[in-house]
Amino acid sequence: MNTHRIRTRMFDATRLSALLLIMALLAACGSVPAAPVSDGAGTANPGASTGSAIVAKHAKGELRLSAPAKRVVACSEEAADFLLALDVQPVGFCSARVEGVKAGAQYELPHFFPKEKLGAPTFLGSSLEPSLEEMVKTKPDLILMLDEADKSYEQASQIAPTMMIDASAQEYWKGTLVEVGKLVGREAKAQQFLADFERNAAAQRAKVAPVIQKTPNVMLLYSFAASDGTMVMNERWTGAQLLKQLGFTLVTPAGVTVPASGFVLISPEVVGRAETDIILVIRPKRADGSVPRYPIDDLLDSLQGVQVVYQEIDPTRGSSAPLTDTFVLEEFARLLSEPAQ
Amino acid sequence: MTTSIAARQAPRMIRSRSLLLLGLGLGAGLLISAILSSVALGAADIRAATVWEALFRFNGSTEHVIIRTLRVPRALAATLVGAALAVAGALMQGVTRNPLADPGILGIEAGAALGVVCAVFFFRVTSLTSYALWAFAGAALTAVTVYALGSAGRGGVTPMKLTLAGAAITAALSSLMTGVLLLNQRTLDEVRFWLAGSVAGRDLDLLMQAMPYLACGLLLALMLGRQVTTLSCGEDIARGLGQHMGLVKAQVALAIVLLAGSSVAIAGPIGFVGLVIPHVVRFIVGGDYRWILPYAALTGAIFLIGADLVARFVVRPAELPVGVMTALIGGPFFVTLIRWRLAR
Repeated sequence: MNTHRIRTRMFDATRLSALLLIMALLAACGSVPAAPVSDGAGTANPGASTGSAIVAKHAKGELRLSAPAKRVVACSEEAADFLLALDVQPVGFCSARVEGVKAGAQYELPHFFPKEKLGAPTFLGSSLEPSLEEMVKTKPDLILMLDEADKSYEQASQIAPTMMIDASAQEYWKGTLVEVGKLVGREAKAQQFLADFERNAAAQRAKVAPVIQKTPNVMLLYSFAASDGTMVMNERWTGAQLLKQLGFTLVTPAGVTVPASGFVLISPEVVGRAETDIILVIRPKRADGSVPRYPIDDLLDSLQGVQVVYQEIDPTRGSSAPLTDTFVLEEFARLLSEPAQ
Repeated sequence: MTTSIAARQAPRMIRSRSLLLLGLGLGAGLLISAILSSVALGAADIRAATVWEALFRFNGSTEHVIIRTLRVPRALAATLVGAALAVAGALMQGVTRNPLADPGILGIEAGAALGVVCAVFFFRVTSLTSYALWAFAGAALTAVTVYALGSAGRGGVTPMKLTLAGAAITAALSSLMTGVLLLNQRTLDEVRFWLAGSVAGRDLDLLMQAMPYLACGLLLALMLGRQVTTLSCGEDIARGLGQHMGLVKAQVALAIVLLAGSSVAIAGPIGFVGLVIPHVVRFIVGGDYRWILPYAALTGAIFLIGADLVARFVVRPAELPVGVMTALIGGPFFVTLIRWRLAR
C-alpha cells in the first residue's frame, strides 16, 4: 500500500517535472533576442533565423537581420562615420589611430568626430585586431568593419552579424551608406544624406567657380612624416575625387606615371615641372597641434606663379566616408577659394 | 699564435707608406668628385654654372633652392653616414675578428631603430633631430647586450658567439619593433620611410646636431687604429704586448655606438655598408687598421654617395631609398663572402 502510494507520488512528480521542463523550454524559446541573424558567408551566428526581414549587401555577400540593429560596434573611423551620418552612436569603437586608451575603457579622447556625435563608446582596441572579449561585453547586434580587418571577420561574426565594408572603390561610401541604413532601420536617412551631400557639393562648386576660371589646375602633394618622401596623387586617390567633384583638374609633374593606387613617391626636384596653378600640400598635424615644416617647403616657397596651399589634417581622421568627405569637400573649397579673394 | 683573419685573408697589394698616403689623397679627390656629382646631378636638370652660382651667389630661385636645401644636405648626409658605417664595420670586424661583423648584423642598427620607434610610440617624438638621442641609447644598450651574450660561457668572446648573439638580438628587436608598428598606425606612418634608410629630405640642422657625435666617433676610431690592429691579431698577443684590453674594448665600443647611432639618427638603418667596405679596403691596404680606418671612411662615403646617385636615377623621376640600393649591392656580396669562406 505504502509502496503503491510512493510510486504514484513519484509518477506525479515525474509528470510535473516533465511539464515544468517543457514550460521552461518554451519560455527559453520565447526569450531569443529580437535581432537574430545569419550572413551570406554561411557563418553560423547566434540565434540565426531563416525568417529575416532585412537584407543588406556587403563584401562577404549578403547580411540578414530580422530586425534593425540597435547596438552597433564601429570597427574603424570610417565605420563610425557611417553610423554618425545616420545619427546612430556606436556602443563600441575600434581605432588604429587612437592612443592612450585601453580596450574596455570609455572612449573620451579628442577625436576628429565631435564628441556630441561620437558619444562615449567603449574602446575596443585596434581596428586591425580588436579585443574580441571587450567586444562581446558590449552585446552588439551588428558589427561594422573595413576589409583591412579581414582576418578578424570570422571571429567577429561569431559575436554578432558583421558587415565587411570594401573601401577600395572610389565613392564606395555612397552605396555602403544605404546598406548600413537598411541594417539600422534608417534607409530614408541615408537617402536624405546622399541628397544633402550632392546639394552641398553643388554649393561648394559654385563657391570655387571663380577660382577655377582663373586657376583650374591643382597638384596634390602629401607627406606624413619628415622622413617620408614627397608623394603626388592623381584622381584615382580618394581625396582627389573631391577636388575633381569641385571642378578642378588634377595634374602631376611631366614624366611622372601614377600607378593604380593613385599616388607615387617622387623626387621633390620635379615638383616644379608640373604645369599647375595651385599646389595643395596635405600635412598631418603633430600631437601638440603644430604643423611641421619640411625641407621641401623652401622649394615650394621659391616657385613662381604657383599658389601653395597647406591643408592641415587631424591624424585621427579616417579616409573617405560620408561625414569625412563632407568636411574635406568644404575645407578644400574654403582653402582653394582663398586665392581669389 | 693567433693570426688576424683579416690579415691572413687580405693580399697586401699596397705596402709602401708613401703609396698608402698617395692612395688617401686619391681617395679624398674621388670623394670631392663624388660630392660634386651628387650636388650637380638629380631629377631636375640644372646646368653646372647654375650649380656654382647656387653655392656661391645664391639668389633664391627654384634651381638654387634645389641645390642649397635638397642636394647639398643630401650629399653631406651620404658622406657622413657612409664614412661612419664603414668605420664602425671595420672596428667591429677588427675587434671581434669576425669578417661578418657589421652594425647591422650585430644588432646595433636594430637597437638604434627600436630606440627611435619606441620614442615615436611612447613619447610622440616626431622630428628627425629628436631621433638622435634615442638612436644612441638603443645602439648602446644593444651593443652592451650583444657583447655580454657573446662573451658569456667558456672561452670568452668568439666571432661565432658574437654573430649568434647579434642575430638573436636582431631577431628579437625586429619582432618587438614589428609589434609596436602593428599596434600603432601613427608610429608606422611616422617611421615607415625612415626605416627603409634614406638620405633624402635631411636638412643641415639635423646634420649639425649629429655632427659632434659623429666627429667624436671618427676621431676616436682613427686614434685607436694601432690598438685595433694588435687586437685583430688575437687577445693573447694584444695582452702579451701590454695592451689594456678592457679599456681598448670600451673605447672601441664607444666609437662604434657614436658612429652607428649617429648614422641611424641621420638616415635610418642602412645595411651592408659596414660589411662590404672593410673587406674591399682590406683587400687594397692589408690588415693594418691605422690605414684601414681612414680608407674605410673615404670608401664608405664614396660608396654611399654613389648608391644614392643610382637610387635617384634608377626609377626617375621617382626615387628609391638608398637603403634599398645598398641591400641590392650588399646582399649578393654577403652571400659571395660566405660561399668563399666555406670553400676555404
